[in-house]
Amino acid sequence: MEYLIHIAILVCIYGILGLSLNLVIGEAGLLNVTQAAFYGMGAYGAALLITNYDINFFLALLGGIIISAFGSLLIGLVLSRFRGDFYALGSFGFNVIVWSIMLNWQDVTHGPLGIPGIARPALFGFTFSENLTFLILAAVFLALVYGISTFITKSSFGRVLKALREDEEAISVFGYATSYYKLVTFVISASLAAIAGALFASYITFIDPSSFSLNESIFLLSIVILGGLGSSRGAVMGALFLIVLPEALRFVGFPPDVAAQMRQMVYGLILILLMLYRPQGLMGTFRM
Amino acid sequence: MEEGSNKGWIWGIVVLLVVVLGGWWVLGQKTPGASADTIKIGFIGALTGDAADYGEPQKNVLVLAAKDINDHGGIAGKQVEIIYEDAKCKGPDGANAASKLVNVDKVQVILGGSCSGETLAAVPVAEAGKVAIITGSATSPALINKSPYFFRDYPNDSSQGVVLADQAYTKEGWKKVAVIQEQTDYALGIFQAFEARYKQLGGTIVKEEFASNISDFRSVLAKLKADKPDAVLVSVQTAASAQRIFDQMQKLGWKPKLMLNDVTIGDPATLTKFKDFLEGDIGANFNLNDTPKFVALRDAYKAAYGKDMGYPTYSTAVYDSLYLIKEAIEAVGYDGTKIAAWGRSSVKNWEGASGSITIGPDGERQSGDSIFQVKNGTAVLVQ
Repeated sequence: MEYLIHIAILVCIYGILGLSLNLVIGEAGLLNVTQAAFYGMGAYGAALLITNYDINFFLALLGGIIISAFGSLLIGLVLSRFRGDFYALGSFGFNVIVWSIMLNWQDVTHGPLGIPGIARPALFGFTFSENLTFLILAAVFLALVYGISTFITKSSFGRVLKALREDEEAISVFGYATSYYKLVTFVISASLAAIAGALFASYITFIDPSSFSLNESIFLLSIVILGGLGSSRGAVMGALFLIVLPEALRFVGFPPDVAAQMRQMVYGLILILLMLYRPQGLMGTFRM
Repeated sequence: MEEGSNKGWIWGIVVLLVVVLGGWWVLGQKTPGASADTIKIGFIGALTGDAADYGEPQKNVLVLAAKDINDHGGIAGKQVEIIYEDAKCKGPDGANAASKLVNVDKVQVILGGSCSGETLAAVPVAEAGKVAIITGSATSPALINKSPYFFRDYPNDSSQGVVLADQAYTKEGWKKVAVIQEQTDYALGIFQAFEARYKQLGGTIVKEEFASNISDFRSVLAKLKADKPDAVLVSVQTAASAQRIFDQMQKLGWKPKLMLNDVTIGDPATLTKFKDFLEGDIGANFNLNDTPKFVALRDAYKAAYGKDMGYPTYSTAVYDSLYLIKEAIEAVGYDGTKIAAWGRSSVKNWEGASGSITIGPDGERQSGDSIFQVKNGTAVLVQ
């Protein structure tokens, strides 16, 4: 049961990441491969505040969000000027930059040694040290982010984003400042990703830069694309699928000699098959 | 949702079904770690990905060790079964693997992980489940006293760095050392220990770092060469990086005195390939005196897998860890808390394939590293 709770917690964390990234990719149609950077900023921000200053998790979470929002604002100011493929390449570059900072700014981030011993959240004397209570906390955050995400997509702001996704030029003709919309979405998305980062840091109790590399951004991209672009439910489904699948494959009973390798291969194969037969994702409303 | 949402929900239900059935199946498998005739022991290691280089030989030696133990009556009369889980050297995967071993397989002992990152994430999970965890190859100082359930039969990085610093400053009389360091937890850990000791002794250090995916070292080497150091410490994660550095040093026509860490001086292939280049250079490794147990393991490995045992220092320590656990279970029973306590109190001059093992009350292996010198393509212990 503990194991299922553990997986469920990861699903919540990645569900939040999927939802946050869906806002940028699924709703606004911007191919963003830098989400792991903001996920990492949230994680590092919260972890450093907790370990260095002994700050309560919930305040540290807020700190992580602020750091991530500020970082995304700076990055977004540049990125919002790009379109299409250039946007993807630009965002790609920023992920590498942020990752390099985590790796090299050793006085603060401890570089590749990472930050161990991050405390679990506590509120009014109650500590979320049991995995079940942590799951409840993570689920509450997932629900919150889900609510924010649906609110945005249903609002007039969300409709502008959809229009932006379909035809950026057309909507700019109508007088919408497209780069402003792109920037705001980007910052909101980064702030939501920071929540997942703080939860992750506090749950695993250890973070290092390898968890926030470009590979992680590509994994998050897979969650959103596999779940289905432009669908909040899809983003959560994508996370559920991509987290549960590799864990479920531990139980298939491959011969021990090749089990680990087979697990990776089957995982890859299933993803390829899904993209072949279900290119719009599990519940997608839009294809890139 | 707009069009296509009906189909989407069908898919959603399929996914949910898989999850629920999978969960039911997992819970149905709730067998205790020790059944009537087997004892289950978990292993966490890097079996795929970049670090599989370490994980694979570790798994291989454990297969040999388990077979040997089972052929000779098992542990306390029960057959031992090792459950191998892949964690790719990554923190979250380490936590996943540990959670599965602790909560589904109900093991009382975990061997591993291969790297510090996955171990740092696995230890809290093991502690929460009151499961002992012993590693033979995660060397980060951050693991020292991380948990009463953790101990290791491999010296931590600080031991290597300190031994090298003492040798460099006191014995060799090198006052200025250049360091070329890979940006990994392991290579950084060695550097930090070296730096602390060497600066305390009065030496000066210049340092260049490189990311693991870099293969062109010419500018880094040219810069270090211009600093005119007395010697160069090569702190790398894998022997492959060291080989690239030596190769480009040769092309640059620069041959300073070199200090190597254990992954380089402990890799016979590198020493053979750069036999002339490395002649006379020193390195820290832990004492592999070709004891009978070591030789037997080396030969058995070659016979079973048709190749040399990779990373013998780590692999032998991992090999020994299973025998240590065997002794622990026979002494205190199959109980994670008791095994961990045993590991921190009862291992004194224990003769294994990796030499004589003593584990202190802090869970750290006491017998540390020694200085070796490269002579004619092999590493020879410096007395």
